[in-house]
Amino acid sequence: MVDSDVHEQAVFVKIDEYKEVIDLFEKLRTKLAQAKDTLNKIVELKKEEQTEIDLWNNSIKEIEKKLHFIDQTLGETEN
Amino acid sequence: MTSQNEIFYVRISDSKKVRKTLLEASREIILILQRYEMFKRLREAKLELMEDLSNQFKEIHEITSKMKIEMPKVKFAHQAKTKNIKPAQEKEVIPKAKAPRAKKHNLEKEEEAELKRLEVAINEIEKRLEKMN
Repeated sequence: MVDSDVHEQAVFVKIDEYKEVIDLFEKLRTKLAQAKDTLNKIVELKKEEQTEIDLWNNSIKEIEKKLHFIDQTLGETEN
Repeated sequence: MTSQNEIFYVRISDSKKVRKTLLEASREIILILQRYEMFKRLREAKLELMEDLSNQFKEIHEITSKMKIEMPKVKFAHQAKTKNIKPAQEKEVIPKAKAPRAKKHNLEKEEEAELKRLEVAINEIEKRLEKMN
């Protein structure tokens, strides 16, 4: 028998086993859709987290500016 | 030497603005603290979702393992040539639910075992894929 013949042999599945495989496949499809949905939610939360971090960054910059102004004003007074 | 009666004052120019700026800075810091609480909630929600996702992947893995068992065992060209491989060896990857698992008290040990189990499963799949090629 040639190698390629082995590959091309037809495979037969018992009808009850076939139904079970189809059911399992349907379950797999559903679970995969759920996993995709969960992953999308995680991505959304991650974006929100990043937004929060960006806001902190902006706030820190703002506070720095304000402190710099106060520092300058107090410094001018010293001179 | 300065006595207590001789107290000197320093004039702060634009004191109103300095006071205003200081108040604004305080407000900004309080807002950061408020946002930190929000951030904590987001992280908790994210961790819960990651746990859910991990469980979903485990279920997917169980279903695929079941499917593998249900599918007929076919000898591929490579296997047909090498008679050492028995068809029974095909079933070596045991689904998680049926795998014998000793009770582990330590959570870390359990996670390590899970990682090892997954690694073995990956190696097995890779071997089978190699045989198919």
